Amino acid sequence: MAATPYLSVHAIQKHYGPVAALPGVDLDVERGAFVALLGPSGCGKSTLLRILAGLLDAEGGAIRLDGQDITGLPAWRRDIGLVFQNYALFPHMSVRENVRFGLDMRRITGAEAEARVDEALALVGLDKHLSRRPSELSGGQQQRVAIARAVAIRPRLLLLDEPLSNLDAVLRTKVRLELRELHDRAGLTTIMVTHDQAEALSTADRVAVMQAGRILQYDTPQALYGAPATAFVAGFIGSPAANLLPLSAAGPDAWLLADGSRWTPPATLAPGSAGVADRGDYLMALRPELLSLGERSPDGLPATIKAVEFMGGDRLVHVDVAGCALTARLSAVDRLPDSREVSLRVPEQLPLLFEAGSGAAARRSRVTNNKI
Amino acid sequence: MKPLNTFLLIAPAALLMLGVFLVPFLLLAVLSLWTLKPGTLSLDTSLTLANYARLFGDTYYLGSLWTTLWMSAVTTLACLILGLPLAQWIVRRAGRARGLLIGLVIIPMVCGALLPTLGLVNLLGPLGVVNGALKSFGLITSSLPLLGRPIGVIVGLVQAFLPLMVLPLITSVERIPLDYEQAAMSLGARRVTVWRRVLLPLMLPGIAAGGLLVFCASLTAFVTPQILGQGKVVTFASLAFQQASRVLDWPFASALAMVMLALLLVVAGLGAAVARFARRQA
Ligand SMILES: Nc1ncnc2c1ncn2[C@@H]1O[C@H](COP(=O)(O)OP(=O)(O)OP(=O)(O)O)[C@@H](O)[C@H]1O
Ligand SMILES: [Mg+2]
Repeated sequence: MAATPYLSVHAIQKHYGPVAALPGVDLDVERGAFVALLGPSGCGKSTLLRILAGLLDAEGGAIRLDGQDITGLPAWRRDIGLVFQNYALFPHMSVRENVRFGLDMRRITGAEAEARVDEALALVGLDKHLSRRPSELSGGQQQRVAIARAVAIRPRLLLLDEPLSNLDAVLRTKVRLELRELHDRAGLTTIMVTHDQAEALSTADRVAVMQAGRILQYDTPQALYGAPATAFVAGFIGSPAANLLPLSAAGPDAWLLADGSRWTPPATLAPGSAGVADRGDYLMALRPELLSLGERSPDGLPATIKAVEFMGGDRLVHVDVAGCALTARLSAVDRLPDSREVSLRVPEQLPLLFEAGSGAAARRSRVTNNKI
Repeated sequence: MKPLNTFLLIAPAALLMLGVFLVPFLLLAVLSLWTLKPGTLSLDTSLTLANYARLFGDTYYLGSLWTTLWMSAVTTLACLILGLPLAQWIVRRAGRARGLLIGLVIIPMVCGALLPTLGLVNLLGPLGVVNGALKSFGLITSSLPLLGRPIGVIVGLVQAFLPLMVLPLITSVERIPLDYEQAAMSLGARRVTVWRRVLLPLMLPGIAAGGLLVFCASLTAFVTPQILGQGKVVTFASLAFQQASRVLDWPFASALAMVMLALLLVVAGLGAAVARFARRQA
């Protein structure tokens, strides 16, 4: 075991009435790391963030920050910066007054306060309209002010709750790069909540994938994509996410598909070489970008093309395989077969298998380049 | 819509306002410039400021004006002090009970001044609940004179007009997202500081509106001071009533009413200015 982590969250619990929003969350964050909490709406991301900030009391568990137990510490003594989804800028204060608020609370005044305000505003690249009220700013400008306000207190931890969700698509891509730069330049430790995986994968060092109040996998973006720990993660990461094809093993060389038809794949994809039991139900994760289509052939998966979506650089081909809807992503230059009745070719690189019931990985990919 | 149509639409309401409010006010204004012929009840219709001179030259009337003003100010302040935490509590903490509580706040407003005030007579009287309790705890030996004193009148005014303060305050608290408070806390503000630096400034429009309503209502209140003051606390409104219905000096009563009206206008102007200032801040 290495040195204790900078932030350690242990067995944090939170119930709303009888419903467990967080049944017991563990999370370790290294000093200087940028961590993303990624998960669908309502999975408890904001709840966890508010508990970290001290705005919500956990019912059990402990939080340690930089060697200090902060579990019972009130929010105003935590030195944790928080950026709200709707920014929550004080409407009766100017931009400068907003940014200076946290410094006022720390009794930092005069020239030093002004210098720190300028520094924070420079970090987010805001040098105009500083005496305006928040309501006179654009959404992007408001977001910068909110970040500057949180950064000005030199927080021990910066928490961002969906900071980009109110921005338009173009600005969002730009700002997420800026956020990462800001984090590096200011030497912050950051936790960002998001339900946009592109945001999480592109910005964070480590991503915690949450579902129903649990962290399913906490890993680097590369590992999440290449070696998802559960079927949920595989079906969540990637755009479009991996297809999950239900199968059951029918002896060492053949699978039964959902409609009962038999599929005898190339030897490397057979249950025998996948190292799973001869009987049992599985989900095979198939990355859309690794699939290809061809004429009907005996070892390919029999598929029917349902629809083709033109996306610019590539095409999404929606097919039906034994009653299951799958998606393949083909380059726009790839030729589609003439007939709608095609074969879906699965790369012979041992796709990931998950147990159908639990969703747990049945077998890890042995390939080193971490592709399914 | 064409201007003519709009005019037709507001015409009935405008006529009603004209008949019910403007005309009586104008009559009042003219009446206040007339006088009674000495020793009679017949009117001298030559225009003069004699009534106003009499009013402002007599310490009895000025004293009554002063009493009314300071009692209204204290009532407003008391309503504010009670109303601020009450409104915040109803909006933020009450949860399910909120609708019920707002209902309870409104009740004194809709059941008229008489019933609650008579209740207060029982509460504050020499043999009332308050004196009884104080005596049984051995804190006092003889009853405190609460009725017939400004303190009793103020208690009555506060209970009658608290809703006028609480309702605008509730509206203004409702408009403040919880996030503002939480953002302030995460920036290092204690509860008191959150309240002083964030909540109070944002509640200013509500405070101005509530204060204005309570002050004006207290200034013109008649029934409550009459009953709880027991004739010993003479407010401006009861003075006007006396002059009109007992002394039958309608011109002088009109002058009193006109002074009150002018005061109301000044206060309303001040309140509107504060509200406008607060809105510009927000
Ligand atoms: N005050 C509350 N009372 C009752 N239930 C709540 C409350 N706040 C949140 N919840 C529930 O707790 C769960 C987690 O909520 P949370 O706000 O943490 O989700 P989230 O992951 O942030 O979602 P989103 O991406 O939509 O913001 C949700 O199912 C939600 O319905
Ligand atoms: Mg949320």
